[in-house]
Amino acid sequence: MTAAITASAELVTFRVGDQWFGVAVQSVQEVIVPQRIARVPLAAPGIAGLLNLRGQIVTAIDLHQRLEISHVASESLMNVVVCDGDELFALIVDEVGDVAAVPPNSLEALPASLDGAWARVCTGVIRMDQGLLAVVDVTRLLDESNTRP
Amino acid sequence: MDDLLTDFLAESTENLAQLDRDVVELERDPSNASLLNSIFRAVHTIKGTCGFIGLPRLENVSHTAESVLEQLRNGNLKATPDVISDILRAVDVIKVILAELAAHEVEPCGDDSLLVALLEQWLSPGTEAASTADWRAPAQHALDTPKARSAELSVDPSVAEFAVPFTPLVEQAVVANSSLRVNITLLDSLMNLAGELVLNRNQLLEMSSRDDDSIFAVPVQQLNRITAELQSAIMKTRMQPVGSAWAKLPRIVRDIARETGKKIELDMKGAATEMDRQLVQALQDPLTHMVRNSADHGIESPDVRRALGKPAAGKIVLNAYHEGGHVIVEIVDDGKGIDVAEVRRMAVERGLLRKDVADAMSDGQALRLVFEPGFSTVTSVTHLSGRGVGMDVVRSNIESVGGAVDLRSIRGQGCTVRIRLPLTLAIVPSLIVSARNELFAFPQASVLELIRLSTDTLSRFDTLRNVRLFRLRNELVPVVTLADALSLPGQEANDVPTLVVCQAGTARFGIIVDDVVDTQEIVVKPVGRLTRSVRCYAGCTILGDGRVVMIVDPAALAARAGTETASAMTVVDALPETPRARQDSLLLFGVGSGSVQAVPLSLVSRLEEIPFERIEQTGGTHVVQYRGCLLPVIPASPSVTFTAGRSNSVIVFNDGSMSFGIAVTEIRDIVEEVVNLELPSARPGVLGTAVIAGAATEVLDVSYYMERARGGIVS
Repeated sequence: MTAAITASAELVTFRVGDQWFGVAVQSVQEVIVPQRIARVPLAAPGIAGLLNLRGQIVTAIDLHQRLEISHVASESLMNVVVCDGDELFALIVDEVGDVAAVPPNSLEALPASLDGAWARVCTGVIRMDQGLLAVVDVTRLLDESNTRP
Repeated sequence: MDDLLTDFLAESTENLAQLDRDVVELERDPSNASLLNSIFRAVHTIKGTCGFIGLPRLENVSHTAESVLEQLRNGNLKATPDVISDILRAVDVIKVILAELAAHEVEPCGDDSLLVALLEQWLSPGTEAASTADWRAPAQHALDTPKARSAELSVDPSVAEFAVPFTPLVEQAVVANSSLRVNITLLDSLMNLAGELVLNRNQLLEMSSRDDDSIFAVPVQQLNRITAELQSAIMKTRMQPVGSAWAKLPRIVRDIARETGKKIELDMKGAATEMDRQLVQALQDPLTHMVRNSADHGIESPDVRRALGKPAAGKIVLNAYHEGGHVIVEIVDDGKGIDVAEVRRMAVERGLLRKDVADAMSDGQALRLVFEPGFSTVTSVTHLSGRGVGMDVVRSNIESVGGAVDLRSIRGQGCTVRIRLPLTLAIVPSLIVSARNELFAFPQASVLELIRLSTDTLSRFDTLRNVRLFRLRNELVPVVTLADALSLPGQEANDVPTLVVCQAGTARFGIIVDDVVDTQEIVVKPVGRLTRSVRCYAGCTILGDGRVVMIVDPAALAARAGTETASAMTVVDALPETPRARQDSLLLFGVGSGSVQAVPLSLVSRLEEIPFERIEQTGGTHVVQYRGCLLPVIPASPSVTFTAGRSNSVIVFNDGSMSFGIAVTEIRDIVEEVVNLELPSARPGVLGTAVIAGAATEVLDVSYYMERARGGIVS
């Protein structure tokens, strides 16, 4: 991920709470409207459940819980479907933004004081006109050892 | 056709096409060593295999050709056009023989001595010089004019055709390639796609059923049929003979026999029984383990066996067969069997259960303790087997693919392990239940029975140190609530919940759900990696309406809820040695004044309506002329009467030597039920009372009536 950003890269941006995040466009398969999600009782926190995407089972991740962002009742939840290790995951976010073209070498290190879930799943930040965009590494986000607080 | 032969033909045909090209190529490039090697290998493979399946003619030709090729490979012989032609002739004869094999499954008769002579002449030293003229001339001549050759070398005339290269016969004699090697992952993905097609079809079916005159109704029906056929066809491609799981066993048994100084015969029956590839794989390790157990611990040494009056060589029999949609694999040995007392002692010693509980168990139940985790009857750990992880792993492996394993043993006579596996893993009949407004699926294989918990059943619940127990007939069954076990939020939706009684291994337990919604054949899909760590699920599925439902693994759920340890309190079996969960087809019939009786359908030979006029009376017995014989008819109860102008329902039984009928008032129904006789009966003609189809029902004692019928005939 870090390597990808040194060359010019494209990021799919989405908002969770007040914060905008970006993931590499290569890992995103599609963006879909909210789906009926079957809960998986006893699953780790942050796992919203399973949904059916054209006959494929997709694990839905509640990014509010996953990134420890307080949940504000929101009408316009969207699913960013990403592929990681041959498996599909739906990231439940508040809003999906544009695909941002990021100039080379624009990725800056995370502040050392950043803690918790963000530090574990983000690779850096990028200064954009609207504010800071936190770049999320999909593999780290979906790493099981990172799902438990 | 024999599988071995089919495979051989398919493989050889592939090889031969390549061989032709390679030999011709070799002529142009005689020094190409890798080409020569590949030709040599191809011919060598054919020779090797045909020796194996008994094709002497083919073996002879390919062996000689191989020898010539060997000379070429060693550099003793140069690949001159003459040599190449002779090799090609050999290849052609091989083709003709293969074509005949494909058509008639037998090697054609014929004499190849000419061809063999031709080829062998290249093998004698100094052939290089000789090959040009002297001996070559007559042979060449013979080939050019078959008649002359047959005269000179007295060869079977039919060989003339075979030995002449490129005759029309050879042209058409290409063995039809009727099978194809396909990558397993491709098959798996085909299977998955078919599964998804099924789900899609289900959705379409549901949509079109909402609208009676939908223009899609007919095409959707067709789609339905085609999908089902496609799925079963793809399923067939994944079938593998069970024999492939036990290919290693003869070697293992032989090694154990050698190391322990025993004599063991291994007999394998039904190796061709087919089942899903995945299941064959799942079977492999448990099977190996159990055969090892039998060989290492079951079979006694020859001296001991002789002293016991048994044949010195022990016997292990593997038997696989289909039975009612399942595959049964049995491992039977005639060794020393399992010492039930020792099992009880060990189980108590290892703290699996209390002594009084162990003593109260029936022998069959006690035997099944060997499937409990941490149990091993072997006092010494040998490097062959028995490290304390044994039968419990076997059991969990087999149960993880929806199978069941059971054990019977007679001390001193041997031991029988019986494994029951489904034919395929892909589709599982299941029960869809609800809890707190969420749906879950239970595999039906683990469900024993369903009990509606109305208020009057509440008295049957007890609590012992946080473990809830339900009195199921005369057994105490630990019970959990699905919603609690899964920590579902919300309120109970139904005040008349249902108890799902499940069995996993030796343990029986109940799971309370709000409602049973449906039964469905579902396609099992694996859950994602992030949810896999939750052990309570066997996967998930997509229902007809597109929603995802988790498939509960009852055993894992019970283990999580801690009921498994409690199951050791299951003190008394309903009936000693009643086969568990054996469903019987039962015929229900009325015997007058509202009482219903049942008889196993397997005993019934026919049902007849017999008009009063045909019933005659001889010496106090009613008889009917039936198929040229006299059929005694006995009323099932005094309320069953023969009335003029009416006919009677008669159940006809036949024990092989004689037939008789039992007259009843009406035939009610046929039900599938597990029969547990509860109240033994003192009344003649009735074995006892059982709960069948939710009502107390008397079970007919057929043998009593048989005696009566015999008595009637004699008197």
